[in-house]
Amino acid sequence: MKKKEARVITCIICPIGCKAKVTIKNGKISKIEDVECPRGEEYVAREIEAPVRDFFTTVRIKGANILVLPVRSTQPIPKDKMLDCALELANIVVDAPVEAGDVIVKNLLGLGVDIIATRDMDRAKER
Amino acid sequence: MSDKEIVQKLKDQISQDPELSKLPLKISCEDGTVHLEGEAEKWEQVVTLGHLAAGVAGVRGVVNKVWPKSLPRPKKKRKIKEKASWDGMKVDVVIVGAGIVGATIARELSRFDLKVAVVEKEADVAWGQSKANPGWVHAFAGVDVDPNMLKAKLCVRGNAMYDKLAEELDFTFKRLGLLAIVTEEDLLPLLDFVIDLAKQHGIPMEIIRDREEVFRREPRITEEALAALFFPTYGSTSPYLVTIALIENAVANGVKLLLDAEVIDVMVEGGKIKGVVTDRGKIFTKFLVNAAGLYSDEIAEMAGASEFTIHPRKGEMLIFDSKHSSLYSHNLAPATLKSDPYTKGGGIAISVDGNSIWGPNAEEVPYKEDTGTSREAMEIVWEKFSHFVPNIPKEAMITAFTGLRAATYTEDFHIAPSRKVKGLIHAAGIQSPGTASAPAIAEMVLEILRKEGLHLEEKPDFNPIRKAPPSFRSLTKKEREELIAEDPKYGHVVCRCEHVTEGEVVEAVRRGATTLDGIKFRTRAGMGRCQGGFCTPHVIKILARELKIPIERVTKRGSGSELLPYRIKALLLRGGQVG
Amino acid sequence: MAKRNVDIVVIGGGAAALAAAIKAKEKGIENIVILERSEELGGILPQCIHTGFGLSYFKENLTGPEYISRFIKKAQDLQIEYKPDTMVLEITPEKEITAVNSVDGLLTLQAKAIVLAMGCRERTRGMLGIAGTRPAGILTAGTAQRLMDIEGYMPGAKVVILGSGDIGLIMARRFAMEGAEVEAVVEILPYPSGLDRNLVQCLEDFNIPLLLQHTVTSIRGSDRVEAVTVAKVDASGKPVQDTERIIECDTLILSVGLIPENELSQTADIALDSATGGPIVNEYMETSVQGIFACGNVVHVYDLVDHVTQAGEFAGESAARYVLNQLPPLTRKITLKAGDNVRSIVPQIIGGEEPATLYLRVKKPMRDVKVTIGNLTIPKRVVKPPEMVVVNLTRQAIEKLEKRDELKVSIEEKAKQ
Repeated sequence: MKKKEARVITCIICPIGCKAKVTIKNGKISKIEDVECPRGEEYVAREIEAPVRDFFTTVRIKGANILVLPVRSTQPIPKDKMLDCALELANIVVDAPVEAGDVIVKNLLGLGVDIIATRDMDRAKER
Repeated sequence: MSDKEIVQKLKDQISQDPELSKLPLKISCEDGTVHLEGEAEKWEQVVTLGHLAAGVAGVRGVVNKVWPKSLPRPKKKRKIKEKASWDGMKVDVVIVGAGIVGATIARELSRFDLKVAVVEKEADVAWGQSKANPGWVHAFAGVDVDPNMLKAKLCVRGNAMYDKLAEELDFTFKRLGLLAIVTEEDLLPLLDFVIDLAKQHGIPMEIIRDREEVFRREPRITEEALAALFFPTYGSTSPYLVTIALIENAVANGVKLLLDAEVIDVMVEGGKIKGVVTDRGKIFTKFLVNAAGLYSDEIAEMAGASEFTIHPRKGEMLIFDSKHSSLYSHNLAPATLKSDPYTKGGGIAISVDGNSIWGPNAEEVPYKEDTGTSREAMEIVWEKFSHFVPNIPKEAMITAFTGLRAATYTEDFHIAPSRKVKGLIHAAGIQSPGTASAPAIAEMVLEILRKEGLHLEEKPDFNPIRKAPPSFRSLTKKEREELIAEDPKYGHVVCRCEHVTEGEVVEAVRRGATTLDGIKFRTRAGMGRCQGGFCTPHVIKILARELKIPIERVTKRGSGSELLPYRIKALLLRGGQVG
Repeated sequence: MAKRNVDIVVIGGGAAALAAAIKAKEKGIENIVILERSEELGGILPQCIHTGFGLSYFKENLTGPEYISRFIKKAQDLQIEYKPDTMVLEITPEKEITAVNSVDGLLTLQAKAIVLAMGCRERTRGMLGIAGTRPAGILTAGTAQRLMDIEGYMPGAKVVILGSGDIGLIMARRFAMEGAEVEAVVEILPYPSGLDRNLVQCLEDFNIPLLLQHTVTSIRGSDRVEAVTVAKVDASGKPVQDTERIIECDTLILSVGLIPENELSQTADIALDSATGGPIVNEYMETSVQGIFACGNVVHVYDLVDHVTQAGEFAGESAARYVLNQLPPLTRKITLKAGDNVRSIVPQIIGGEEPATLYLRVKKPMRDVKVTIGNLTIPKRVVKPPEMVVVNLTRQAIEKLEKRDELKVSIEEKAKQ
């Protein structure tokens, strides 16, 4: 792409929330303006080139007192894979008991991150 | 006046009105019932025509089919339902409508050796007007109501019956009386006339001319108060709890309650009632009591016996925090030179739970399902009453709600046997003072049924006593301990704001509640400050468990109002898309 | 059941409560009981399945359940007694507590000190006076969050969210991630109420429209929500004529404010601050009733649970010192009043011999400001309504404060001189 593009990214590293002006030439970042610190610059660059997000959702669980188990990814995942990950996990049903940190899915969608439980969940007492 | 004379008189009146005379109308009169057909330009004209017709001497009722050409006709949403196990049932009396009117009649009839069925289209009782009003038990029908009107007579008679009824059926009824506050100087010389009017209605009344005395009785009333009228027999109750109590007693004495069954047709043969067709099955009977509230005109029409039309009159009400309401000890109303002859003007009621309920206002509306609140109406009610009770701030408002009055054009109750179909008894057009009148209405309907040939033999084992379910928040420490010892579920509080326990929710289901609103009205769970924020998940789970249904099928107020329609992941798995 | 004597009763079992109980136990108080109305400890945290918790307290990026599990485990390790499914009905100024549950029945506890940590409730549709019908499908955001992420049910498939505060934004993302269509987030102010991170990660990431300076004017639908009408509003928040339009949806989520839950505090005649809705507290987090302390959202609404934990620890420590007769009275009593651009201050009363931390809420976003407390000024780069402003006062700073009974706390832009 031989285009010149300008984008505004709100930095979320600290409460100041600098509105970075990013110039993109030929698909690569050529300039980042209006950012006050190097951490911010790093974040903005990442947001443009390879944005990542913490990933967290619930999975269905059987045999516990409640129907869903909260889970998260061990590392942030590419932003554009969030929806695929959510769909993938929608098919899973886990059995109680579960401990916080238990790996629910290893290497989800080959992204190199695991999905772990974020809390303990006991088996429901038999009535 | 003969039918022909009535038609002529009405036509003359209409021709004198520049707007109405232009409308294409067909006017006829049959046996004292005026029939109006045609097109109007706006709804106000329809109502004016109806009132004009009702005002002609000799008119018994008005059937008004005039409709504004610009408004879409109301559409009936019919639900497809399975046939009920009672399809084909034969009874002695069918009562259509389980509001306070249908309920009092059912309870009256349950004294006798009869097979009675109450048919109600909603998922629970009292969901029409009976839950949508401030709970006044009026002392009388109003200063400018002709004391000879049926509603005037039945109101006074019914009001007097409330103490005994409350004791037998274990519901709360408080005779706080009403203070009508005079703030307009022009009204002061007219107060003596009110004594005569009160006498004509047969009720006690006291004029408080001394300003200081007014403040002594109600210290926090507006500084603008000049004098007051005190009506000691005014009371407050919870009309839906009264309805529930009546129905429970009726059912305990053998009446069958059929909920979620809408009458879609009335079977008539040879000019006599044969039965009703509901959307879940047929019921055969010789006597049909029409207590269908807003839809009583439609029931009449289904029987081929149109004698009146209901024109809904909407009223908005505001509910305030009970903390502020406890500052006042009487029901209150402004005493004013009235502008609207068809409504008492509303007031400031103290509900039996201690909340202040303001309103209602009055607005003629074309649709019977127009139950939405509006900002304008809320403002009107706030403006009208706030200066009377300066200690209640706007922030104390918990919520607003509306009700629709089932008004006929004669603006009176229509309680009479049908003139066209034998066995059909109307208990229709019951607007304010419906709650107060209900016990007297039942008495009157009983007499009509007797005259119409219903054989009434008293049951020796009729039990007039009904006990209300326990209400944890109202119990003493000892009573609470005993209750919990009996059933530990009464130790689990699921509604923080009103201190409602799981035991009460379970008992409400046992007594007939199947919906979230049903639980709300019977237990008060969800009526407090957080408006269900904490208790809703708990109550939904208890309903699912007790009714043995999946959580997805728990509804707010019957099918179509499912609260949690999808299990988690169901949308993802079905749609395959996110975002 | 006979009255039971307890050293410290903690009312609530969430972040503030656990922090207080743990700290009190560590300070040597043995006889502590936590009374929690839900079936498990954790308060609101178990349903906050997103990350962003513990960034300052643990220097880790945790989800709500992970954050609170650490405190629940600690409390269990310390063998702190707790009673779940227990509702406190009343507390007296003499610190007698009446509570109830299915196992013990009615309970009466006589406490030496009480820590109030009941959190908050959500503002309702009724309080806002939103017109229209009352169908199924209207929920506050917190209740929707519980139903979705603990009970495992979706309240609806097509959602409109009123309010751009953090809870509304987080629920927008949750709904989107669970396959619902989020039609819009509607915000009455000209700027969003939530943190920037949430605007990016909850709205932008999912292409959810944010309608600023709009409000929901009415709700339609008889049995179930069918649509809402939204309209543009003027500077005073009133709908502008002829700007109404209909958005079809089956669910309306309300994220329109949190109110500290102080019904119980009132049974003990505890003085409340009308600016916060919570008790007036001194720097020990003690309320107007001696020996009754308060912490967490019941005092005023926090945005970071890390601050809640700190406040809870502080209140727990104060309660413990009180029981051990080691809590010195305040040498002076300075009431702090909210001045320019300050919505509320906690604690409202300071004047002891120890350092104190002030938590302020500002009315509007400002840059390069100075926080003025009497004669003391503290500079701040940025202040925003959704982010609590924390001001640490040293002993010396407090000592140097003007000798007055009342001091105004205001925030002004440095440039304006």
